[in-house]
Amino acid sequence: MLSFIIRRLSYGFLVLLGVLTVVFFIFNILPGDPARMMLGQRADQEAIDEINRELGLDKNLFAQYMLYLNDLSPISYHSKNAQDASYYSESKYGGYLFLELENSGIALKSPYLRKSYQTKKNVSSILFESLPETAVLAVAAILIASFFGIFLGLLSALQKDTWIDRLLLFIATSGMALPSFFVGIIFAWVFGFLLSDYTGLSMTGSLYEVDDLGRGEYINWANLVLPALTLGIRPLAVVIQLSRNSLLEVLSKDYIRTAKAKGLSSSKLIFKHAMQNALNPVITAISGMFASLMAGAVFVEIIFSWKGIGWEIVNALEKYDLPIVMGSVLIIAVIFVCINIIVDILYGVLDPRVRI
Amino acid sequence: MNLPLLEIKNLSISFGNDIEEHFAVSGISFSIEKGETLGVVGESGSGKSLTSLATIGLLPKSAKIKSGSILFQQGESSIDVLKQNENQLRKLRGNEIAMIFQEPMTSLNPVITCGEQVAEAIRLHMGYNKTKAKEEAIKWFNEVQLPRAEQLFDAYPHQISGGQKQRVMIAMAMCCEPKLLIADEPTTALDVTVQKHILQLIKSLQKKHNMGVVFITHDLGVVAEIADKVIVMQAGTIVEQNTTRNIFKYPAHPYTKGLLACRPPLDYRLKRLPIVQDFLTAQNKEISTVFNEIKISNEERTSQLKELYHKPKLIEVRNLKTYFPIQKGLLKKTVDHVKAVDDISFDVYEGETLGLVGESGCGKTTLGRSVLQLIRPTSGEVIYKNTNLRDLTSKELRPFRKDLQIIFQDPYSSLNPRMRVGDAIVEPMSVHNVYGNQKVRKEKVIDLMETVGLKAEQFNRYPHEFSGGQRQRICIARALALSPKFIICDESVSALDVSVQAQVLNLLNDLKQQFNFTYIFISHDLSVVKYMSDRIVVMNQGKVEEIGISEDVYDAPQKEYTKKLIAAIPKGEEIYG
Amino acid sequence: MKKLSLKYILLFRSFSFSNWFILAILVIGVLAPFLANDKPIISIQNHNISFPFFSNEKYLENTAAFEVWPLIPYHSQSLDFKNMNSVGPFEEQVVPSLYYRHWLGTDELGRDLLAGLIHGCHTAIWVGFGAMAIALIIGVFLGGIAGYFGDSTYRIHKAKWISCLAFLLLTALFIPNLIPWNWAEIPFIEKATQTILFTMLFLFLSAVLYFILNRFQAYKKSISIPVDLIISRCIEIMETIPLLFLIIALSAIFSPSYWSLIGIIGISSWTSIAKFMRAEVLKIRQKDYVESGFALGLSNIQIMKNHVLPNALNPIYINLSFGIAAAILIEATLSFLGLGMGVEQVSWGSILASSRADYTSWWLAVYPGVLLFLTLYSLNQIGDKLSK
Repeated sequence: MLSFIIRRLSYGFLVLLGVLTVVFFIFNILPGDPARMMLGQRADQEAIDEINRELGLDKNLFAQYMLYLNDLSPISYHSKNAQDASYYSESKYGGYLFLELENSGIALKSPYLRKSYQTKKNVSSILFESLPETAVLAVAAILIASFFGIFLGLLSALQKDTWIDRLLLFIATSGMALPSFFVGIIFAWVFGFLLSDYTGLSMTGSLYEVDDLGRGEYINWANLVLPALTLGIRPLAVVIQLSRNSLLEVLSKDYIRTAKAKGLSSSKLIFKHAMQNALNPVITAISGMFASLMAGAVFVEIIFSWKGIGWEIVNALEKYDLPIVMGSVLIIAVIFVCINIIVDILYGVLDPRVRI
Repeated sequence: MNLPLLEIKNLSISFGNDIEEHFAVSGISFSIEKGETLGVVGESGSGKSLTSLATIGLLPKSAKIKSGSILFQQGESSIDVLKQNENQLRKLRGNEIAMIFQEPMTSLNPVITCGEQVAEAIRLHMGYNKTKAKEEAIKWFNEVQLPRAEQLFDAYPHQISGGQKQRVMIAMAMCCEPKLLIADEPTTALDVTVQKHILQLIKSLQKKHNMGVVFITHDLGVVAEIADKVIVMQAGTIVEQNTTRNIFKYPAHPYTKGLLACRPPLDYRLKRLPIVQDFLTAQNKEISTVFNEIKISNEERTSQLKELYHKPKLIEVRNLKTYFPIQKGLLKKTVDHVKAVDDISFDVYEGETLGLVGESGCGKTTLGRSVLQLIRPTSGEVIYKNTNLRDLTSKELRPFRKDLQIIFQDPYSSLNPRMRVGDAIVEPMSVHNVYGNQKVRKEKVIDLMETVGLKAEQFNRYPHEFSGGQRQRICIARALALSPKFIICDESVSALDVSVQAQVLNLLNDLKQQFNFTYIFISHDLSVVKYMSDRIVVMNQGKVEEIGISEDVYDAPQKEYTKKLIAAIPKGEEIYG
Repeated sequence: MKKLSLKYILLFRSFSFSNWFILAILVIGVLAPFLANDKPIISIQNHNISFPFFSNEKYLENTAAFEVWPLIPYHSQSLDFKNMNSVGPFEEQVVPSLYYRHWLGTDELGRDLLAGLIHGCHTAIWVGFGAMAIALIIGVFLGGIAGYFGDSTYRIHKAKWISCLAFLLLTALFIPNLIPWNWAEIPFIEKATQTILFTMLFLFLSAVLYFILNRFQAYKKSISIPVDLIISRCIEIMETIPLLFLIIALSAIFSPSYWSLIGIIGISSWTSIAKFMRAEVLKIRQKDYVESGFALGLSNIQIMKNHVLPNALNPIYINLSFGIAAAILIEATLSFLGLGMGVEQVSWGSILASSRADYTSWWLAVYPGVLLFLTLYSLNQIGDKLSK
């Protein structure tokens, strides 16, 4: 088991390295001049050169790539020359130098995602603020989808070819075709505007809100309801269909016939013999959706002004703030890889055939 | 009044709707007494499995019962299974009537331990608690002779072998001591040696618990071993029922005669196999007279062999090894090898049929493919026309492919479903650019199709429009398209019903006469191999156990393994012996 | 081929709503400029027949004797100054006649919503089909060779392999040097010439390397290339990158045109097709008819063409309609975020986005939303039906 986890982790690390490479090269061969973006059009050449040197932008692409990897690596090499891009300063990188040589040193630090061109804030601290918001939203949506989805899928499979089944299937196929931004607008309009007196919900709002009355920052759970519902509709539809089909397929297997020939009751048949086999594809789908929801939350965040990663990224793009964009893409990729590892381990629990 | 254990009266089952109805079972009646074993024999599509499923109320939803009753004895009276509701049926299933299915691989739930699957039934019907049920399950595991019963209780199905799975299935069926056991082809997916043990087990359990057993199979040999009474089914009707002894000694119906006669006999050699049609056209012919007409005498045989082995060698296989690496770890390091073919040498003489026999996993299929270089051997030589085929690249091999052909086992997957059968046979001709132009090739193909018993107008049909036997004929025609010298038949008749199998075997022999081929005939079925071959190679775990003239190998086996294999063939010694 | 085409015929014979709807969207999308335009299709002026519709000149109204107008006398971009600030479909409108009425209302700038929706069809089907075509080509090719060759069957000579690698490595190390972080400031032609010359040099060098290596017996041995491993890892990396972010980022930076948008969506959505194709080819590869092809001496290309492709593509075609739906959704999404094509190209998403400015103009949200929903629903339905 342990060797499996280690293997899986190192494998995930390699995938991340690949992602890092692709993302870096895509964003760095694009036209655009970060120094000018930072200083404005009227900046003098000297200042621009200064910024370019600091960011390593005067070097060739390959050297820039190495520099970026060095910044991200927890163990990194740094020069002691203040003119170099890899110059170590506590305020920039955090961490500490633990091996000092004549002109250089090796540092131990948390991955440095660089600074926003616009606000000069550390990207990691910006993401640290917005990530929990998106995560809460995605988790809520996934919980809605998996809980109701598996239940309704089960119901649909058991009532196969009745009106309940047909209704649920219609709902599921409709849900697949509903664009979440359309649903978001309708939900916000109906529940947050027309019916807001009854529901007590507002059209927009984040999880953390600052109270005007001096209560400071507090969590407003009511704001979560509409965005989570909006985000959850598509996954819900997918889970309903998938769990229905998967259960129906399992129910036609030989071992279900064996269990029937044993004289088992239908509830035992379904919950003991069928469900465990039927859930595997559903779990794969849910885990796959979770990561894409983190990214897909973007419209929901825009519509409901939910200050998560998607909101951050769209704002950053308007100002060509590449470090934030790259940072968020990477952080989502990391989450994706982690979830995949967890799911692989979960498989082993559910299915003895892949147990290690 | 003494009621039979199970009595089926005038049962009809149909598929389809009101407009188009297809009767899978039409008006069958039979009964079975306590402590009796009834063999139900029939080829695929004869309705034997449907009948058994109807008995425990597990028919597929698309099947409808049209008429009849299934009376099951309960105490002094009997109940009609067909009139029971789901709840009553559930009490019957597993408890009174139990069933064993054909595919042990898929019939056990992969995510529940074997022990729990048995214990579950015990808890359900006997009302035992968890510990008591476990004890009982382990007792039954011992009864079905599973080794290390305690450990196997916690094993998952994928961790045990096919034969062991079938034993678990039997334990599951037996654990509530049912009055009636239905076994639907329980040994078809197993090797002969394993089959023998399972048959013995069912027999002994039946005697011990005085059950009624319905044993469904396509194999007459198996029936002869186990059954007291036999029903022969064909296309949904019962053509003959009698005691086992009478069925085998004095078959009355021509279909039964045909079925009995078309199994390759083990004791003597025939020019060709009789087929069912022979008996349908000449109603009163006896099997023995038919056999006498086509028997080959020992003297004839000796002279045949003498002639054969004076011919030159066509193919020489020297120290052939095909290993598959087992890779482990992060860097895919090769830790060990599966030695599928392990240092095998033999010669194939021109005009000879060399039989290759062995149980599943012995490497016979890999050997066949290694000879043709479809799987590249790890080392060794395959010499044909003074060339070592292993040294050639796949490009250099292509001209040799014309001479060396193979016919596969599964007639369903060996034809491209999207290609007309005519085009499929033309394809190799155009690839190798033989017979000049497309028109000549087409004529040639139609010739070939007629040679293998197909019709010219079937040229433009797709494979799904053909039956299994016809498809195998198409595959044969395709292999013949390049007029090869040497053909490997890899289990080519194993997927076919016995009566069709006899026809295809006859076809193969006729073609051999006509075109002077050399065959390697691979099969798990010793009787078929013995019938077809001049010499037999017995394989076991990648190595050759024994090689020799087929009669010698069968009559005087040298190796322990060969003896075991021959002893395991179901022959029904009690009847013939 | 036969089975599939039969299926398609049956589909359209069954007269279901989804098929007719998609057919209608296709027809409207193709004919969009003829259906809604602010220029007449034919105009007869002083005995001269002209087609103002095809010319770029501004059309002067009310001078012609005879003219044939499109069904809707508005282009998606034509501004009606009399009906500005979002006039609803049921509200009073300032129009000369019923013909000029805005049946579905207008937006803030007085653009006709119906015309916008019709031209939106045009955008949707082009992007949907175009992007899917690109994804299909890449996906089928990469998935096909990954499934077909697997990890051990594609073998080439060591010498060839090494020289190819050398070439790729040289170019990969050198090309980035040529691409500066701001390519606007460096003379483009000069750099392009340099690139081409150096690439040719590398090609020459690796060819020389090949001939040298080929003289040694050790390098003549053939080694197998794990094609499947390489492509599968590429697919995995692509799937790990949150594609929506990537697409959003790329289209924000490029402010894409029609074609580049199709390209961006196509290039980022080939992975699912490739995975599907790979699995399908792997399955077919196991079939006896492929092996019997080898036994009959067919070459890889013949087996691919005659046996693998015809059988593998069927399920791929079925998945196409889901893929088209996904591409249309992505396009609408980008337009909704204001990152799609420029303002001159209307899309259902951009109309939906304009509804957010003012919640009282419900028609700007409901009509395009419902249209988008019905399109996606019908495409999914067709996919479902084909797969049965």
